[in-house]
Amino acid sequence: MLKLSCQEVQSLLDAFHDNGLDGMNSLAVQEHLDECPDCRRQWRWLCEVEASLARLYESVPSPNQDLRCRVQQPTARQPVPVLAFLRAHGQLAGVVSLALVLAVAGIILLRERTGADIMVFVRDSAKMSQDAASLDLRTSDTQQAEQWLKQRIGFATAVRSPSGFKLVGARSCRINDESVGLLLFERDGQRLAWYVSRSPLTALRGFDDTTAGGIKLGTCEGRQVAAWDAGDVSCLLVTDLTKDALLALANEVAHSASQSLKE
Amino acid sequence: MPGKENDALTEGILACFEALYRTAFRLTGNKAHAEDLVQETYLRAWRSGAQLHGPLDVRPWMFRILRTVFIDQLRKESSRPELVTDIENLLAASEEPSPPEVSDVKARRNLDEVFDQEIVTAITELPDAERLALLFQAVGGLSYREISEVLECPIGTVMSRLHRAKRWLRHRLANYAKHCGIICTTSLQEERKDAEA
Repeated sequence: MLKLSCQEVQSLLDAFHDNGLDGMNSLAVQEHLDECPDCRRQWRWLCEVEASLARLYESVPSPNQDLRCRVQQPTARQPVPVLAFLRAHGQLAGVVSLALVLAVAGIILLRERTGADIMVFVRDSAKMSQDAASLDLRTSDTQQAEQWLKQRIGFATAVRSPSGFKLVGARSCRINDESVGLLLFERDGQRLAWYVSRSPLTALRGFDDTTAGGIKLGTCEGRQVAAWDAGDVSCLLVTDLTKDALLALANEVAHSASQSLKE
Repeated sequence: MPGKENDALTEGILACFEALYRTAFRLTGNKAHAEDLVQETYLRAWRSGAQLHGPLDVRPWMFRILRTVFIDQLRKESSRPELVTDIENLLAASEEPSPPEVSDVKARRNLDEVFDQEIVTAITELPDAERLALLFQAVGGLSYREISEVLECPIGTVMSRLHRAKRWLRHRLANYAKHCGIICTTSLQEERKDAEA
């Protein structure tokens, strides 16, 4: 049997009280206490103090009634399941967020590239009609205008003045991030804007009719618009003439251009 | 975190309320401060609940937050004088007194009342490390292992802190009880005689 000194027992009394001793030590302390009045007195006093410590818990005044509610409030506002899932799966949330951002950016880009409509050209032509001074080249010579366009935008269609119209000048610009050439014609105070581009202008939104010859027709802000593709170049006319008059002009221009290509 | 596990954690966190509040009250000695301490503890707990790995960790985790909030508040109260009690020196300076014999208590009820008041005062005189360990055990009901997790120290350190704190309390309360005449001291020699007889 393990025999302990008074000093050893007194150093173990706290652990003995807290049931923190192994079986052998616990038995040795108990036997020593049975035999030793000094240590027994220490033990009794220890129990007295421990009892007082235990009463520390009970003698605390109750908290205000609403404290329990205040600490519970956040649980009543639990995040919605999706947010809770994303919080719990941080990495996945990152991937999902990135995918969403890319998707939104893609949609925006796609809309910008394909979502343009004839209104952009109608408004540009209206501006040019009101202020011909903003033309880059002022000339009535169609060949000069053709050469100028080739130099400025890298390509040109065969330029022929439609019936009765006279060339006023030319301009190069970027519309929908594409290089576009403009030829401005005039007849009795009426203006005709002729746009040429590498991108298919017939793909624009806003056309409501297509002729058998592949000419697309549309109306926007009181102006008539016609567009057709000619090889690797696309043409678009804007004017305030009637729809039939514009169609006649479009057929004439398209025909003369195709004749030029054959020549 | 799966729903059921999440519910168990929420339940575990809320189940700590009584122990946290009572410990906070004994730490601050003031009901309003204790309520602030507990509210801030829960606020931080809900914010960082995802750090928990399982329901078993809840109690020490909550008490660790309580301890952090308490220490933060102490630091804010920079004007508060730091009370330092050198337990070892106090115990070494005076010879270990013979503890009173409890059977000699004149009035049990009187002893309990006086003791309960005096022990609260005595605990406030303990250094923070010993005081926290003692209150986490006596009021919070934490085990040695849980206290070691809360205080981030080995179990052996917890045991020695508790031993020092309680030994000092016994010493101080024995002197107080004798001084107040609550206990009539019986000499050990007389007791030994009685035991031999």
